[in-house]
Amino acid sequence: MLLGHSSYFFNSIWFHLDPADPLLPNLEQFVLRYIGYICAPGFLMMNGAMVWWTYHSRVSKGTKDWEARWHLIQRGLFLVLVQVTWVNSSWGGFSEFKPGHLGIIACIGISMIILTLIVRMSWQLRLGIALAIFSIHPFLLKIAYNPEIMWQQGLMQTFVDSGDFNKYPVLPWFALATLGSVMATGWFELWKDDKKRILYGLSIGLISIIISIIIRMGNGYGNIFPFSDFGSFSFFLDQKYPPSLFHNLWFFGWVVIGVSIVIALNNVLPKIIKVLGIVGKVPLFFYCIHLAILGIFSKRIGLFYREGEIIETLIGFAIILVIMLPLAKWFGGIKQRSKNYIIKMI
Amino acid sequence: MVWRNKTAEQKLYNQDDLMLNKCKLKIFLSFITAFTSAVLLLFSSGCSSRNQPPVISDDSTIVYLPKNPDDISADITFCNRISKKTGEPVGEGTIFSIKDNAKVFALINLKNRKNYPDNDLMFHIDWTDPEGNSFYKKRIDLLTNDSSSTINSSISVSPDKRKAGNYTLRFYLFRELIAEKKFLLANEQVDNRLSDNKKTAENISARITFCRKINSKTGKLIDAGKIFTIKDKGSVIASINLTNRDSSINQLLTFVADWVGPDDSSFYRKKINVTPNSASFTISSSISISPRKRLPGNYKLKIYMEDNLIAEDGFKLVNQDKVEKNTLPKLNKESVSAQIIFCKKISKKTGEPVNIDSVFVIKDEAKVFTFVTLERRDTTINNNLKMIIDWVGPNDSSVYKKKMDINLLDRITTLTSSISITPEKQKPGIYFLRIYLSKVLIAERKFELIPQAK
Repeated sequence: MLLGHSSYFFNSIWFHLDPADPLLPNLEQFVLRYIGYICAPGFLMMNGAMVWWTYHSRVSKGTKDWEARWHLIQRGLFLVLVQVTWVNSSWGGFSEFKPGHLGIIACIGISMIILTLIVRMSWQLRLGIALAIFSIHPFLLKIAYNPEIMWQQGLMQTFVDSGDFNKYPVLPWFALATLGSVMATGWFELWKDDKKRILYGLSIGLISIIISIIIRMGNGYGNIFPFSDFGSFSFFLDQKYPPSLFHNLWFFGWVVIGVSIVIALNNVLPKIIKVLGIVGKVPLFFYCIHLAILGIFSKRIGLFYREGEIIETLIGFAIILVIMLPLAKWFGGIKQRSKNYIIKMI
Repeated sequence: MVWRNKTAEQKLYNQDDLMLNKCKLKIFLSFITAFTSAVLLLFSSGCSSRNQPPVISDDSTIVYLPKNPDDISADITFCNRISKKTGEPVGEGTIFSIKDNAKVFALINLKNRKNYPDNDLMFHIDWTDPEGNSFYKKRIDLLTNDSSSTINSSISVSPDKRKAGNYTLRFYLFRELIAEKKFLLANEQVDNRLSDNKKTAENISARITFCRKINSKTGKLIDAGKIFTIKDKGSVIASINLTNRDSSINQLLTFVADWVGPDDSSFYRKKINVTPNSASFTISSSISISPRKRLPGNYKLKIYMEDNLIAEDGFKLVNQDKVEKNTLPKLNKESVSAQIIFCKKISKKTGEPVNIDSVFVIKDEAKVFTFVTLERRDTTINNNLKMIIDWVGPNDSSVYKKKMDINLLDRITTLTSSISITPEKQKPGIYFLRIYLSKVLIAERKFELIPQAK
């Protein structure tokens, strides 16, 4: 995510790169862009897992059902608020207040709210809902609407399609969040030790990737952009806004494999996980602050704004990481000690 | 995590834990290595189908050639419009004017399209403005039943839509960049004062040299001159050396070589398109001078660039029998003048004489240089001439004779020569340098060598 945002602010390719229809000049730029593709699925799935774990953890500690749900709904609403107030404006360094559209944080918030409603369902049922949404979504994309008419744009782009109002429609991403909650059932409840977590995780991830490849090679249902050959730029770059079925299954697989790697890493090299944990404890803080820093210094002040390419992007990434890690650690401590409602939410 | 919640009893078996962890570490690292290798292999081997860096084609298209030579590549031509009849570009170039109702067209020629008759092909054309922002993107899918090998796109260049500057068109195949080309949009006000073509033409200087042949290997002109004999299979070749003083030399330039006969009418016009790759470049055009096609007389060649005459020169065709008798120019002292300068050395950097003198001291490793400036006064004297530079000693015998073939293509020609003046080789006394052109002495000058003071 940070790498992708660093690229957005420092890499000159973004003068002409359309994220909805990406065209890339070389392998380096392709890799830089594609690395960021895993972020949104990762966010949504971790969000889904977190919702499941938080709910069940609170309930098991004696919190009433709707009290636990209400806590999550409030958090979801808070995320939507953060999107329209802070995140939207931070891209431009707060030179303009832009509450008029949604984005990934709002999508996470709305998904969280909806997921709260089905969080008590069995994992099989949740899996069924997620797969049903995945299956139906390609057909919903065929619904014609006029983006010039506000209510049509608002409705379609909040839930189904991508556009100026919202690049992250809730339905497909909510399905990923739901899959995250299903995986959480395995990670936290069904699989009792790390060996099983890793083994099942790798197997599920691999199966998902294989299914996604089969769908991609079929070049029909579940695909949106055509591709030339297996392994080419165009093979990987199926539509992200909104995601195709291939995109969802492909990245679901990689996220699950990634989690398995993290579990394994935690056993053998726990110090690395500690470093990742600094960010993992305050993800919203990290997201909001690093974006604001980049927006203010690069876009608004004009510091190297889209003047570089790969190297400049990597340097920007390293600098922001050096700035953000101590900040995240500091805020993590504050959040742990604080009883303030807002700080707890961040 | 369960793994981390070890009980006190478990901690007693630290050694076992350590062994277990080492084993898991190995398995884990193996997995990570295999995983990373697989991902890297996938990305590096199959991902990009194009070679980096790109090459620049003759028409200044930046081409990212395919790794597989049978894959599709493209070149891009910009023009004012595309002929509806022929489909050919009209008004090709890389400089266009911003004006009402005007457009710039891009004609993209696909190479190796025929190799993919059964594949749908997805292309993107992306036009970017001087700041690099994409302002118009178009996706074009060539389906299996479409055998087209050209794609075109156009943009309006009216003043309300575009501003002056360098624009770029990028062309992608399946999202991967395969070709790009730049063009310049100039304000119409500038054009009203001076057209782009005229501006370019004013920056171009041309020098025409006629010859009988051009050595295909060395590019050297053979039998350059201004008088040619009409004969079977004979030809006159014009080598036109062009110098572009403008920095925008990578644009496609169109020249017309117009051959004019003795009756002052044009008998052959040749259009020559060239995208120069340096500030100085050469084009050529030739005509047959067989007896069936040409009459004796004075001919002219006019070189135009976009309707602007940039160079003109003449030559004479004669019948074979007359050549030897009447038409060879009589070379005399008035035909070519020569100015002789003696000096101690010639600057390697500037080529200019250093320490000019007429008295030199004989000593070890010393030399006398001469810097000769030849001025052609008779314009018909420019054939391959035999030249002799003769260094003559005090006893009137030749010390050193240098023979050379010389073409007096320019009005002024300079050349140099030198002799060693070591005590072993030369004696003190008065020396002469004599310049002969086709055995005619055209200049001489003396200099003195003196012994080194003890």
